[in-house]
Amino acid sequence: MIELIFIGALALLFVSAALAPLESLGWWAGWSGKPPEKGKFIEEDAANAGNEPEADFYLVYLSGIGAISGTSVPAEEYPFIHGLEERLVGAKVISDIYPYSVTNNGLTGQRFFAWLWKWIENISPKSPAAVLSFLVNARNTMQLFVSADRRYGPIYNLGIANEIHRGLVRHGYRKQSGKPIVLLGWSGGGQIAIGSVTYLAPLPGPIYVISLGGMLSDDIGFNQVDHLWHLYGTADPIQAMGGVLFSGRWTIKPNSPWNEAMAGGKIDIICLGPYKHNSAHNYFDMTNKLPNDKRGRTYGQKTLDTIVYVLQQSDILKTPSTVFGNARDMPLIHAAVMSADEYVERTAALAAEVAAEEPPAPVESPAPAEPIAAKTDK
Amino acid sequence: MELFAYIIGYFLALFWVVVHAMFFDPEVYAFGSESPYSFWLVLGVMFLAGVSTLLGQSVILFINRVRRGRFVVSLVTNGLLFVVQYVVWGIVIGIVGRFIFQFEPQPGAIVRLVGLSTAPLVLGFLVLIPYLGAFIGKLLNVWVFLIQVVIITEAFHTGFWRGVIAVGAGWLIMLLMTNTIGKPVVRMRNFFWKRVTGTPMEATAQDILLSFSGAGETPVTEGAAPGGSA
Repeated sequence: MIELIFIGALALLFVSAALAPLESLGWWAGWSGKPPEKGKFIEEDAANAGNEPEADFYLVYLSGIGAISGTSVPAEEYPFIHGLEERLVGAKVISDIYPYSVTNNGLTGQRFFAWLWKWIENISPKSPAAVLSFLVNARNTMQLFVSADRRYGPIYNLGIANEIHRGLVRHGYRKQSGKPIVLLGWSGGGQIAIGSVTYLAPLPGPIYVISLGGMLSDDIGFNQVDHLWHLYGTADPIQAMGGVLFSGRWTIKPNSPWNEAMAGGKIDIICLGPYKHNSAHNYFDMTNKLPNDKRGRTYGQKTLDTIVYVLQQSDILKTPSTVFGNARDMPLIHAAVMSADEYVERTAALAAEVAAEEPPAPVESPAPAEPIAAKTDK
Repeated sequence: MELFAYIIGYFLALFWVVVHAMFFDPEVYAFGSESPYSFWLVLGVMFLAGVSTLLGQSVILFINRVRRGRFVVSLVTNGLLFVVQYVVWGIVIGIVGRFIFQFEPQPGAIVRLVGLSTAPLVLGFLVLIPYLGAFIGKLLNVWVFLIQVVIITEAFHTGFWRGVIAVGAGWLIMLLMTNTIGKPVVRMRNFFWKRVTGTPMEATAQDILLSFSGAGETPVTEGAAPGGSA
């Protein structure tokens, strides 16, 4: 009986993996609507352009494999996104792109299995059924590999780049201005960020990528990215798997896009410290403090500081950051996955409770960025 | 009702044949070589292998924007072409064996056995799996080759290396035929194929890259980027 269950689970896994590219392939072939056409995006995006004032630069946040939609990401990421918005003065932070669908269609959108994903989204993190949220991770991991696969990547990454461009235009980006675009990809979002660079590169401004614990392949996007910073933790084996699984990252292939970008000084690999990929002590942890950190920062604060640091150092972030610590003070609600709306409601309620109990803490002055622990700049 | 039971029975038997052929079961090889009743089952194995193989490589159909209906017809067509291809291959291996090693296969037996060797390709759709798929494809082809060698070795008592030579020589002759006297047949097949899919089947993933990334002949200023430029 156990054998049968094991074989059935294995068969289900393989069949699911085989079905993974079909969404993006069907989109390209026009099976799920009108097929994408060259130049057509310009007209559509121009019609949907927002009236927002233009920012100094645009940071597009691409979530990890735990994301359910553009507006429903793991709860721990909201304080981090809020921290980015607070610190990156003059920038526009865009966080409503779902990087695991070529049409920005979240798992709870118009899909056959939307009911399943909605059910998973609403499971309490304390429930034993919360373990089923791994299905979200498994589904999105497959999309990561679709992006990295040379057969499907050209289609998948085109769709994502298209959605990123739409998001940019929606938030006030004017392509004539040539403002810098920074793609910040967490975990699987790191690969998808570099994958979409190929199609965003023709835009007049520079394109940068920040990979936060990203599992990166030797994507051809490395040929066209202006610079990539890979932030990682020493206790994070998942980001390290990129260097093992993707042969183009092995040193025996010196002409691969990754190795050429490394040789050309386009990649900085920055060690943040003893960070884990998930749970406590991860890149978003705004609760636990780092061991031996002179300023007593949490893991998440140092992640934010380092991002600000590399952006300032590269002259992308021109306005000095005037806020420090607000993200730390944001109440963190623990949940497996939560929608943005629910997060805002619950955060506001929690903040009101905190405010009723004690007077508000004064805003701290900005702290200088700590020197980067390890930096490779060839 | 009887027809339904017959169909169910056929597919159950097909499943049994595929699984046992994949795992080098001598019983199923003996069934394939000795029983003329195995014909329809072997035909089913080859057809399924052809359908599944194209499914695994269907990215080319998607890139060329083959429509749903034509997609299904393409799969069925590939199943039929696969049957023809392996029947010819079986005949070639039979002829090679007869001339080089003087083994005397029963008429049709060698064709049925070579047909059984396609059983692993029923899993050909797994080539679709991102990143791992290409490796799986190679693995399946090696698997097919090994089954063919085992079949020839066991059924005709040729010994392992003579079996390898017979299968290898058969493959070489097929390759030579495809590039010489078989060219008109290949042209006809390609013509037929284009009619079925409804596209010239010329687009590749590289074309998408060149066209939309602005890296190709099209100037960026004409909107090569998603959302275009200038």
